[in-house]
Amino acid sequence: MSITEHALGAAHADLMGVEFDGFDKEREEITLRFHAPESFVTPRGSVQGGLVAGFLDEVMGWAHVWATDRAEAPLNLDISMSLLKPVLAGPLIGKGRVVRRGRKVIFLEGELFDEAGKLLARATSTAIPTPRPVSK
Amino acid sequence: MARIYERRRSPSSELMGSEFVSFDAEKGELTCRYTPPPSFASPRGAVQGGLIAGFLDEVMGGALLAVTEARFGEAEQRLPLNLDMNLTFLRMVPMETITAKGRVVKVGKRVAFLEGELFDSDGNLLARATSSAIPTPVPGADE
Repeated sequence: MSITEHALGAAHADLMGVEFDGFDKEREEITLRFHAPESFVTPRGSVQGGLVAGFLDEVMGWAHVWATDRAEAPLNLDISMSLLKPVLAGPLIGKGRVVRRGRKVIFLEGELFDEAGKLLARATSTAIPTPRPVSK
Repeated sequence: MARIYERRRSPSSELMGSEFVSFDAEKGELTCRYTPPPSFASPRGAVQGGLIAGFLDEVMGGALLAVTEARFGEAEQRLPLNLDMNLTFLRMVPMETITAKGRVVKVGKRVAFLEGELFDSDGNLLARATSSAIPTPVPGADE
């Protein structure tokens, strides 16, 4: 599957420089690569904490999409996030997993690492599975 | 000169089209407006859920700046270093100008508790957040 196919022309995916890396069907775990843009940076010199959730949402969402053979996408009800270390502009690796997938509710989790494999942030999310919106 | 929380103080606030509306010192509440850039759109045609946290973080951070300045003076202004953020998404956030309110629930020397809300132009609550943070001096303030 190509990168363009993965991003589906979604504007936010381009913004975050999303690239597909791999999907482990058994674990229902997806790995994505990102490039955090300079426009996400605060006066501290790192990515604004709230915007870190953008990457985590992306890996959690795609884990669900891939786990359902791209039939469904999550509509997030909530996200809880811990920010362990500052996230710098540049390359990032995200891992998203489906913790539990029901008919009415799904539970997702995601992690964000730097290139050295250091854990920077993590999140969990509760969501409703919906038919996947198709942008094009 | 405009107060720091009245300005766009970073690339991230530029990106989100941040506009200061008002600050209520008594309630410790900052009100801002944001306009999502086209690049925030998800395939649903609304702001991607995670990126919604960008607006909420921005307004909560501004609230801490405004409250610490009002209570302790300009030299004691603090910005939050967020430890966690909990978000609830009540409605889709449209690709149009939204109003955000940020409040300081409690601020001490070592920890600050913040909350934020987003509303559409009809006043519907779209999303809310709470955050625990470490209050730190404003980067670059000493220069």
